[in-house]
Amino acid sequence: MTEQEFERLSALVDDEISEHEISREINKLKSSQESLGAWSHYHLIGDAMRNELGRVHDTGLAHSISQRLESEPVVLAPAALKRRSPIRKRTLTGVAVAASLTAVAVVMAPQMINPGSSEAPGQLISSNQLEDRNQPQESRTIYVAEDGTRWKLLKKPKVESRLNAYLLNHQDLSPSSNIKGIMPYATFVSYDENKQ
Amino acid sequence: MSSVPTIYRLSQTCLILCLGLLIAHSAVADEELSPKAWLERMMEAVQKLNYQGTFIYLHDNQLESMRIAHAVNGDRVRESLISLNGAPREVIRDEESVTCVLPDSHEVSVDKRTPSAKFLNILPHDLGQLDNHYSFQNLGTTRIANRQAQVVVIVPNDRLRYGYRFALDTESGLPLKSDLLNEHGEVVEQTMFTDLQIGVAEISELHHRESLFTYRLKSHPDTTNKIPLLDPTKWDFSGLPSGFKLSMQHQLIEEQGSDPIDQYVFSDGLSSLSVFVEPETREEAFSGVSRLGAINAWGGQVHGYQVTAVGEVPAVTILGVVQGMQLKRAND
Repeated sequence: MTEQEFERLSALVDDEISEHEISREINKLKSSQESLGAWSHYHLIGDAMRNELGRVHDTGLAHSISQRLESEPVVLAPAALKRRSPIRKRTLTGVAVAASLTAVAVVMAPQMINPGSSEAPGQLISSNQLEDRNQPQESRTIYVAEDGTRWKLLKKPKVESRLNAYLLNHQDLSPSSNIKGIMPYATFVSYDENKQ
Repeated sequence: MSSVPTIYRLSQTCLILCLGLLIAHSAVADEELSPKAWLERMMEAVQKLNYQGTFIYLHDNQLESMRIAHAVNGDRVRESLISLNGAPREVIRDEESVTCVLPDSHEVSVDKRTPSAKFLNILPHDLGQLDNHYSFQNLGTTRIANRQAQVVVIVPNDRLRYGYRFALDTESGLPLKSDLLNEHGEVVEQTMFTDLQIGVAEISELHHRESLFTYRLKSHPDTTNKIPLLDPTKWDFSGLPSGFKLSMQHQLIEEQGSDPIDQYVFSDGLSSLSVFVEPETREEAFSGVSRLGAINAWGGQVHGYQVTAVGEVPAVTILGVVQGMQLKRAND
């Protein structure tokens, strides 16, 4: 897709396109898988901006957003917006969705990271999230302290890190990984919200 | 207008009847499979099918959800595991490497897999070697993730290894639910699918985050083609439970110039543990016992060496193995 096509698609998502162009854009949308993908991403991003996502997130979202950010920074530039003549006044949330991609990456990240562990003791607010406090986020995101350990009776991160390395080396050679596939790595991927 | 619902209802009844027949048919067929045949089916399904889904993982009174995907493309297999709780941790594995992205602990690691990992592949006919130490049983059917499942258990004959209870998808053989039971028959780890799609698998591309700290023991550079066997006469492992054999030994190197670490892997064909031996004590060496889910670990000094043992076996098994370690030369 060209830059212009992305721009028109973004305008379509935001309902900022002249009426006679709408059907043409929709036809194009139907014929291209790439446009369809972009279309759904723009909508998802728009929903996220308006805080309408609920707690369901597409696992590939962060990845696709970062990919999009890398591949089309020009579309995000405000200059691209100026060229459009809006038919009606934009609402605050309607500020062209594509233009708010960068902000979304920031807003979305804490949402994805924080599963709502408000009952966990010893919470810290990380510095990058403090910066985000002016975002229209209702709940402030909270990080659990990082100096704990998932291993029982172990309180030294260095030792834990080493033990993790040993465990990985072991699991790679363990027959149970032939039986359960990648499942044994669940111990590894698991996240401890009750770090001591 | 009234005929439409009737036709609809009719077709629905037909569908239900057909489904009923199908289920009845497969149920009959399933009863005929032995527990071992079920497990063989499971191993084949786990490795050869394309699938993705969400499962919950319970360990140490913690409940989590994860997403798994397994993609097979010819000979190439790619798998990924993503935590849906907490920090988005992820493991991606293919034939050549295991990549772990652990943002909360600032760890990302990409490592080449040891080619010898293939040595340990349990082929279905190898289930026979487990007969001396485990018994196998079918325990009826159940329903998991809205799918019909056959329950198969692997019960250890002693208290030195864990037992398994699987609920296997009758259609595909995939384990819809797996329970790991400790030496007292208590469940120590459970995984259960809540949603499973068979025939599809989407795996995200590898993450590249240069800023993150990489930490992972590397296999010795010279070992990419050939694993140098350690001096087999160096250690004597007299504390192994019956059936446990040395299934592989090799050297790991952390960084250039540092002493290599010897890894010994012992297995009875199902349960396994690794013993890591380092010549010198490092500043912060792991000392004592620890546990992570069903994994037990022990660290300490054995005859002047720093030894770390980890494995999905009871703690008593690990302790037995390290206590039974003898330097052979000392015996001469």
